[in-house]
Amino acid sequence: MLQITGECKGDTVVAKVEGRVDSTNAGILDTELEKIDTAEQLILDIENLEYISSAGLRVILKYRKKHPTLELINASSEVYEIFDMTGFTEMMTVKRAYRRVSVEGCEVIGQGANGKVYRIDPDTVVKVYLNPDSLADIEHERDVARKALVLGIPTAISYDVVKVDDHYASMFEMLNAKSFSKLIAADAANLDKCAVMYVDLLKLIHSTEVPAGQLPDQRAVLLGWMKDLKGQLPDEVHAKLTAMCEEIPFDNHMIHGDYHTKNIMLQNDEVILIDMDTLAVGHPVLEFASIYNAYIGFGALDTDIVTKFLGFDYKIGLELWKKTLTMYYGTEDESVLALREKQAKCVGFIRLLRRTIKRKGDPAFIEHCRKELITLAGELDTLI
Amino acid sequence: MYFHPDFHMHSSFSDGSDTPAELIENVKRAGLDIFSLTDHDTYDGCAEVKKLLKPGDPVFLGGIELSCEDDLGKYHVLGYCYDVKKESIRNAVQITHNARRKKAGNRIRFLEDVYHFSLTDEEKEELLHHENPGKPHFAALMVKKGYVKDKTEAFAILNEYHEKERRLTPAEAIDAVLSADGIPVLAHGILADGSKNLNEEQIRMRVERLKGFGLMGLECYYSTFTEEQKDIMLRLADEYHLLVTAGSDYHGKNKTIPLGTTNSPDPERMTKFYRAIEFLLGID
Repeated sequence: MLQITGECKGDTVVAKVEGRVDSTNAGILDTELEKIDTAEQLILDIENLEYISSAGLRVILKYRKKHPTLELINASSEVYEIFDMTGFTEMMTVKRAYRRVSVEGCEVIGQGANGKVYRIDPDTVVKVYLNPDSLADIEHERDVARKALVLGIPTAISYDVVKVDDHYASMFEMLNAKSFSKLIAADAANLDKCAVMYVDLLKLIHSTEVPAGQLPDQRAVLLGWMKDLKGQLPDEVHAKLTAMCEEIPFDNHMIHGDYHTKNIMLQNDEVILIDMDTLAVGHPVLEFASIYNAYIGFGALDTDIVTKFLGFDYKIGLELWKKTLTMYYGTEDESVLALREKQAKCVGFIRLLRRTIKRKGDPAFIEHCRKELITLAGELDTLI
Repeated sequence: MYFHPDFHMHSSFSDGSDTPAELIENVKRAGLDIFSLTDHDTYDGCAEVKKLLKPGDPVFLGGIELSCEDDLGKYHVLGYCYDVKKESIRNAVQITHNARRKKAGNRIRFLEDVYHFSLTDEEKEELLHHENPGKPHFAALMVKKGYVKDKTEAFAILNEYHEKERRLTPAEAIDAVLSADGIPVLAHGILADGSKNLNEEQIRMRVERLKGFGLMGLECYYSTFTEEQKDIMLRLADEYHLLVTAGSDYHGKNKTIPLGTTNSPDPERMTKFYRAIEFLLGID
């Protein structure tokens, strides 16, 4: 029994080919593919293909000629072997099926915006991505994590991509690792020790030069946000904020982009940075903006949001924020620290305003962001 | 794994001298553990072999050798494990068969008109009755009737007759085999159809073209290859990711090559082909 169904995603048609293909139905495969092959790119999802004879290979060869970038995905090991021994794996991209992993009954050890992390055995954790189309994101994260590791940043590299139900997931080796959030939540006395390591790692990240073109430029992203906000703020406020953003120089040092206590792990006294998908290059103010949001900005109208997110009390987060600024800038001068906080807050609120409008979020929150930005535009003359 | 293969031989259904029964006997005597009958443009001999095989006999693959030609010259494409009931392979055979029958008829008229040989209706029928009447059949008859003293003389006369017959293109031949679930393999590639010695560049051009049509293998081990020719073919198999096969091109008494003379194939190099045929034959 042969079944072919097509689904169009942008300029790509993904055709699911299921069952057995041989000379008795290769013609059907051809005519069915012909019908659904209406886009630029063609991907054959052969997860449920049990067998293919040379008559079927002949049809695939035909479509490979039409689409030089033809991809076959989710091949079982039996079917992969057919493609391998006939040389097809050298002619076109044939990807094996992802190993299936179950997380049933496993402890959830972390939850972020884009996924949930489970511990599946004492040595292994698996990060399950919420979005079913996350394969490109996963590949991106693996790619930047590898780059960061090469540049000397302690991070966990996913060693395999697997499937958990309909979702893609990344496997990591992680022994006895606990996030800073968990450590601080377990005992507030851990805060001082964590804060020192937190700032040391942050300084290491910011002192790491990234070769040109390897990571996105966060300054360009910020300027993009400002463009999106045109008309959302009084013109003179928008103009002043834009000018201040433009004044931030390009910086080829690494920033993490989501540097909060849930993304730093302690494993056998070693600090490990995770959630690398937001890695970029840029000026430290761009990093401090996202740190500010994690501890303060997101909770601007309701501090419970931050408490829930971090897993410890909002006030402890606030304390960590202050300690971070003090240690990072190496001063206890209140006026300097207050200025740094305002600068971080300003970039942070630009992001929050743009993001909340884009997501059609709480109008009260949008209004709050606007007010804050209007005030900050009046108080600040520079973001650097 | 097999150690004494021969995937290229002919029976009396084309231009070999062994009947299928004799062929099986000779295969066993030669100690082959796997073999294929690859008559020119016919699969009827294979049906006979299959009927005669007994449990415990060497493993047999249905085969065929399709003659084809394009602007680069002549080729012989071997097909293995195809489904003989499929239209594609039957059509391909029919095309060449009709062309050969037509040519045989014309050749009879040539011998009658130019050399004034007289053939009885039975003799003509006997010639045309062959699935694929070729020069050896004519030669044998000419010697038997005393028109010539030996086969050499007969071939000299037969070679005077030229006719451009309709041939399959290699693309058609490969397509016919693939469409019937078979494995298309280029026979004695560097020798073209057996009559030439191509250089590396020429054979590479052919292999590259045929790979594009879906060619799956190269007969890298062949009875008359030199070491150098064998190495070139093995190199091309690696480069174009093609299966490696071995064949003698045994024709019985019509040629001098003994059965199973396949130029010392390395069993390791043949494993992918064995896996492919096992897969298609459903043998474990």
